[in-house]
Amino acid sequence: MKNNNSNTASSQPINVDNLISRLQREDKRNKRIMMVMFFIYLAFSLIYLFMFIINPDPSLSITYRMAGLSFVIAFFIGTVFFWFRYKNLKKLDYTLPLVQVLEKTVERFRFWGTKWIPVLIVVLLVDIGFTISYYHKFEYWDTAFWIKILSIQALYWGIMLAGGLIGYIRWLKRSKPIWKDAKTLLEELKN
Amino acid sequence: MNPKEEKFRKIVEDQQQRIWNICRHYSRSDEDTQDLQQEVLINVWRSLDNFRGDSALSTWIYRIAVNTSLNYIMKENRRSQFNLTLDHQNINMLMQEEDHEHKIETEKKLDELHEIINQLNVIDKLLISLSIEKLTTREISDIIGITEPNVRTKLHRIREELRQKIQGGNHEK
Repeated sequence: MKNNNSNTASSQPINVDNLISRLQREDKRNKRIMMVMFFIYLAFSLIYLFMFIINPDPSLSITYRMAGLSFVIAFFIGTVFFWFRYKNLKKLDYTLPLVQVLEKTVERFRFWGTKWIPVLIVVLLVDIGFTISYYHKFEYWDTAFWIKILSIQALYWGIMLAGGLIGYIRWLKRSKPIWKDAKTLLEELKN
Repeated sequence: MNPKEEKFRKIVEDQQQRIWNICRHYSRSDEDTQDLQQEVLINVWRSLDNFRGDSALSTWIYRIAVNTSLNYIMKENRRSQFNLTLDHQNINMLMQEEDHEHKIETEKKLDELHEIINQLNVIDKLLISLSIEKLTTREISDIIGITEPNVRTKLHRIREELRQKIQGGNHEK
């Protein structure tokens, strides 16, 4: 395929005023979104924490409260994780030398890495909360304790696996080509 | 007008042709080039607060232009879109032909050379695009992040490869 741009073509005139006002508007909007998100998460975390401490419903058993605590911790870790991830994505540094940008791209678009450990912790915490709160709902089952637990685990990990599979398919389609391209370019550069 | 805005206006005024020159290699049409140039300028704006002057402003701009352009073709899955279009002056500079006869010979084979160049890998094409922008090996090394000797070796290898192919006329079509 041949590039049909003229080699001697001069840059087209740019409407700087328009561009600047658009960028400033976008900057303001991003700042506002970040602040609103931060305060929403902070408010929810504090409300959950407060509810856990004062326990407004005395009929709630300690097992239910433990399940609630697992969900709160999972929510908190998830919030911090996605907050940092969002910030990192936003501040993708284009001013670094190409090699470093490519190394970061390979890292960002890799399917699995240590960066996902917090997500695994969240999934395990939700599993604990889910198991504690749903165990009682299986009491009509005339089966052994472990059978009930295993049934809950099978259901939960089945849902997680399906989610993981959807994530993997999405990665194959959207991120893998970028990851592969960045890796190839890095290899070409280092050769 | 605040200082950031003032700085940005100056960059657009002084560097837009340079940015355009880089962007046009990665796009199919002038409209595409314009979009890409706009994207580069957006990234310049976003990074402006972090510019500390450790490298020359032009090198800094080139880094943003190259990174944004490569990111653009990777995201759009358009690696094959990275095509260099060179003129006679560029070709002579690229090939460093001193011998007059070779110079004429090379110019005659401009189309053929275009085809050979565009069969190179992305990194080699990138190096050529920076080389024809008259950047020094030091500047190219700053933009790409590999050592100066490595840049020199790579450019030498590419030139040799092109020279051999153009003189031997043995490239595969």
